[in-house]
Amino acid sequence: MEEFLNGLMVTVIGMGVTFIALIALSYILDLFRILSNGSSKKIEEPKQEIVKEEVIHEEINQKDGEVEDDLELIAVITAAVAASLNTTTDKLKVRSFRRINSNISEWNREGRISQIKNTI
Amino acid sequence: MDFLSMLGETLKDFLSSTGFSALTMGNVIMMIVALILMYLAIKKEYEPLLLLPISFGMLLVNLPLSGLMDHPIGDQIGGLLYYLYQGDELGIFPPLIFMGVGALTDFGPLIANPRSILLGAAAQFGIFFAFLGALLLKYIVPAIHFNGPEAASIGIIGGADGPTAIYLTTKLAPHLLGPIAVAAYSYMSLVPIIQPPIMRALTTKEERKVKMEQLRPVSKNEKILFPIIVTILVVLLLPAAAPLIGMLMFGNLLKESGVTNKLAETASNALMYIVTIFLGITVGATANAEAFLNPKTLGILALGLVAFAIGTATGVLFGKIMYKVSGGKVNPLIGAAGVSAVPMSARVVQKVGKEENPSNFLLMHAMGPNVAGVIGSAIAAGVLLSIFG
Repeated sequence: MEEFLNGLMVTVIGMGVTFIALIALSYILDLFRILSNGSSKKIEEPKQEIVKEEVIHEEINQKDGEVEDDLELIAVITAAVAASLNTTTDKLKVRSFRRINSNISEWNREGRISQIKNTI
Repeated sequence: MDFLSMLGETLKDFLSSTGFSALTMGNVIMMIVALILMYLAIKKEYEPLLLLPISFGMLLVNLPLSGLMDHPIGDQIGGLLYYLYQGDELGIFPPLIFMGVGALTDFGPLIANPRSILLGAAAQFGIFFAFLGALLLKYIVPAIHFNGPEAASIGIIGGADGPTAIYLTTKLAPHLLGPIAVAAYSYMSLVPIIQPPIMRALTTKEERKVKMEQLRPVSKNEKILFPIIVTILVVLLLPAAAPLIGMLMFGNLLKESGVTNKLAETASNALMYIVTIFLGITVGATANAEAFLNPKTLGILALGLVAFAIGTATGVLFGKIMYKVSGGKVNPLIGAAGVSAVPMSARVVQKVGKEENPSNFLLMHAMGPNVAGVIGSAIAAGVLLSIFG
């Protein structure tokens, strides 16, 4: 019977230590969650910046004038901005874009176009 | 005439040096047991990666006069398997396997739902229940008597974790290694049969239907920090668990750090399979007729089953408590995954949950308690080791 009482003691200690260790672990993991919540807020902030930046981008890139295929253009712009900022398109929103007059000479333009075609 | 008598003598000598002359009834029975296990491994695919090497080791060692497990005597070197067995005896192989397990395990579901860890602790009741059962068995069956260290080794079968069971048994009761390893791996492969009836009996239809919220995504930093923190916490609390927990977490860090993919790959593939071969065949080789064919083996097989069943039951019961406390957000079935048996018991939970509600996906929720069970059973083994070791 004494052996059994010893066994009971081992059981109490064994389960006690197992529970204490894992309960402690579960509370430490709660800290993880809090820390990761803090960092996820940080991720949200630059999101807005991206939107602003991207508005500026388009203003520079685009020319005024007739609008051909807005949706397609927006999709291309969004993808390009997303790729250059290392993010995904769902985090970006194109609010407006406007074409700007370029003061590049016809020769220069032709040169660029041919270069792009060659590289492709 | 002389020639004929000489030939007769030589033939007689040769015959006495063959195994046939030394074959005992015990050997024959053990060979049959080995062949049955081999059949189960090959045909039924019961944990074949371990059961096949174990059964072949068992077969080899029961072919008499092979001397594969002989100790070295004087100048004479020992048997092949004796030397390989040193990896078990010195406690080297099981922690190496744990390293591979760590490199394979994703602790993400556990980090995402920290409370599920408690289920991994609750399911360890099975270990201690079987431990007490082993101590009390002599009052019911006087022929079977287990002392403390033996009872502890039997109880650990309930941890449903092969390497842990082998590690603890080689330290506490090496003479029982064969039957305990066979029981542990057989019951692990029988998890899909043992667990569902217990899970259904202890839960209501409503409880089994509970859908759980989707787990939050876990960041890379958290996954890297987890093994480091667990190691520090657990090893400080329980130094005896260091070989198992330390190697498990080391393997996991190799995986999660993202800079040691080659090491993680080796630990979880090539190295783990190499060690599995050595571990399996040498564990099987401890099952000689004298060690295996006695009433204790029957006791071990019965108590191992009790350990599994009670571990499942206490896990589910604790899951019910969490169901009540959380206001019905936790599905109590995931408690059954608290016995380690990764990922088999999590799959069982998924299956039983899906039977009640086909749109219910509990697999990832069950993986939390499942991997917590690995940590829990290693801690329980550490406690038993520090008390009886």
